[in-house]
Amino acid sequence: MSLPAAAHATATTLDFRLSDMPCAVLITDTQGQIRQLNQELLGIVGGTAATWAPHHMDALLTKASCIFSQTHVWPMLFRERNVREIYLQLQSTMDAPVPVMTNARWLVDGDREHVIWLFFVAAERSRFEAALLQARKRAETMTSELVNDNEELVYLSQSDTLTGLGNRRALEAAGLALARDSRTPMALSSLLMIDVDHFKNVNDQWGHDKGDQVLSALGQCLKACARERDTVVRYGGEEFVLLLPHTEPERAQRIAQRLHDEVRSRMPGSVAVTISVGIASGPVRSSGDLSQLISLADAAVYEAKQHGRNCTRMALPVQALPG
Amino acid sequence: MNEKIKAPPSSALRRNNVQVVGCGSDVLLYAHGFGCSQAMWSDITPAFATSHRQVLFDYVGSGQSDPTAFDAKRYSRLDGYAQDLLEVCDALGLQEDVTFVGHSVSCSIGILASIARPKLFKKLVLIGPNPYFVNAPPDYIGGFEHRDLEELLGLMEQNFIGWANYLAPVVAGADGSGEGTAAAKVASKLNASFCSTDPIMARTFAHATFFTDNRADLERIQAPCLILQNRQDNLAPLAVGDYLHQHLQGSSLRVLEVSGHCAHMSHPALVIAAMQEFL
Repeated sequence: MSLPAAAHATATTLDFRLSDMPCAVLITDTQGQIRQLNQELLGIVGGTAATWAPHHMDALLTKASCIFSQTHVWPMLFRERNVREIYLQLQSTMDAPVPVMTNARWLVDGDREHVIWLFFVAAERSRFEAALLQARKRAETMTSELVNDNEELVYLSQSDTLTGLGNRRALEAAGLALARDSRTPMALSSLLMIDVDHFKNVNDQWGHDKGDQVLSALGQCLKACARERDTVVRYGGEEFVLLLPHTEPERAQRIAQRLHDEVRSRMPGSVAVTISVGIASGPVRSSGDLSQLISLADAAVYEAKQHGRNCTRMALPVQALPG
Repeated sequence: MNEKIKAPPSSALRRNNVQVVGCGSDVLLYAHGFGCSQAMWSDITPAFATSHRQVLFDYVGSGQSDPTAFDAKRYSRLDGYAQDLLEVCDALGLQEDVTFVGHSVSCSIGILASIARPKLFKKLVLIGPNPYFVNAPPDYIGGFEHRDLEELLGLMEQNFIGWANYLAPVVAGADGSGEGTAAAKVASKLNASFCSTDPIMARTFAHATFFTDNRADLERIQAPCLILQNRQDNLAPLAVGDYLHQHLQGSSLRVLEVSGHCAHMSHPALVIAAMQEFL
C-alpha cells in the first residue's frame, strides 16, 4: 500500500527534523527493534540506517548497558511509558564506548506505536561522576580503615597483655554498656573480686616467670567458668574481676564456688593455688554504681582473707544499704 | 478482589510487602526479577483473578519491601532470596501444591526453594530463566563475560549517583549503619517504588544474580517446569533455553516470538496463554 502524497511529505519532514536534532535520536518499535536513527547517532555507532535497520537496539549498547536496559529501562518504559536521565553506554566506532544520558518515550501514533530515544553524549559528566564515585570509594575505604584502627586501639587499650583478658578499662566499658541497657534498670548484677592467696610465695618460690604462668592460666580458668555475657578482667597484680550482668547474688555465689573448685582441680601453671573471692550485687545504672560494687567486693575479699582465705564472702546487697 | 494483608511487624508478610489477589483453590506465587518489583506482574494477574489465589511479594531490597530487614550477608547469595520466598509461604501457611511463576533470576531462586522444599511447588513457570549469565566455554554460553558484569555494577553506580543519599553516608560519618536506609523517600531518576530501592541493595542483588552459577541445581528439580524462552533475548539466549530444557527433567520449552527480556510485560497475552495451557 503506497502512502498518499501528503502523508509522505509529513514523513519526509519528520526525517529532516530527526537529522536536524542536536542529539542522537533513535526510533524503535515497542520491543526495541530499530526503525530509524539519525545522522548524529550514526556518527557515534557507525554504519548506515540500512545496516542497522534489522537489528535490535541492544546491538547499539555495550553488554552492561544491555542488561541495565532490559532489567530497568524497559520495565519502566512498559509501566510508565517514559524514562529520563538514564546513564548508558553506546558501542562506538571509536576505541571506547560513548557514555550517554538517555531519555525515552513511548509514542502512540494512530495504531502504530514507537519508542523514541534521545541520547546526549555525556563524556565530561561521566568522567566527573566516575571521579566522584572514586572519591566516594576512597572515603569509604578510609572510613573503614579508621574504624578498624579504632577497634584495634580500643582492643589494645582495654586488654591485659599477660593474660589476654580485659583490663580495668574493659571493665569500665562493660559497666557502661550494662548501664546503657535500660530494659531492666533495677535488675541486680553481681561483681566478683578474686585475689590469689599467698601469691607472693609463688613468685618467691618458683620465680616471676612461673608467677606469670600461673596468672595467665588462672585467667583462662576464670574465663572458662564465665558465661558468654560475663566480663572477666585482670584488675591488677594478682586480682581479677568477674562482672556478671543481671545475676542475682545466689547465682553469683554458685559461680564463685565453681571458681574455687576449678582452680583447685586445674592447678593453674601446675601450681596448687587457692583464691579468695568477694561478691557484691546491685543494679548498675551508672559508672558510679560500678565503682561502688568494686569497693564493696574489694572489702568482701579482705573479709575472706581475714577468714582464712580460700573462701567467698558476700557484701550486703546495695539496695539493702541505707540511703 | 485485592486484599492487603495485615500482619505483625516482624512478619515476612509485611517485610516482603505480600499481596494476595484473586480467589481460587489453586495458588500462584509470583517472583519478580532483578531490577523490578511485584508491579511487573500487573498485566498477568487479572487473567487468573477468578481461578487462582495469587500471591505477590517484593524481595527485601526491591519494591516496597522493608529496607531495615536488609542483611548484606544473607542477600549476597541467592539462597537468601529463596529464604524470603519460603518465609512468605510459611507466613501464608502454604506447604504444598503451589505453582511458582518466576522471571529471570527468580527462576533460579524458585529452583533453590524447590530443592529446599520439594513438596512446596507442584509446577514451575520459568520466564526468561538463565542459570548462569557468564559464558563457560566450550559447553555453556550464558551470554556475558565477567568483565561485562563488572561493568554493569559500575554502570548501575553511575545511574544511582542521582540518588541524593548515595554520597551521604560517607559524609554522615563512620557509623556505617546508615547506608541504604530511607532510600524510598528519595526522588530519583529511577522510580523508587518500581525499580530497585537502594544502590547498596541493588548492587548486592546484581552481584548475586549475575555471578551465581546454578547449573548444578537443575538436575535436582522433580516438579514439571515450563520454560518460556523469548526468540531474541540477550539476557537469556536461545542456547540457554535449550540447556535448561536438557537439564530440567520433565520440562517443556516454549519459544515466544518476542524480543527483549520481559515478555510478561511486553506480551502478556502470549505469556498468559502459555501459562493457561501449562496449568
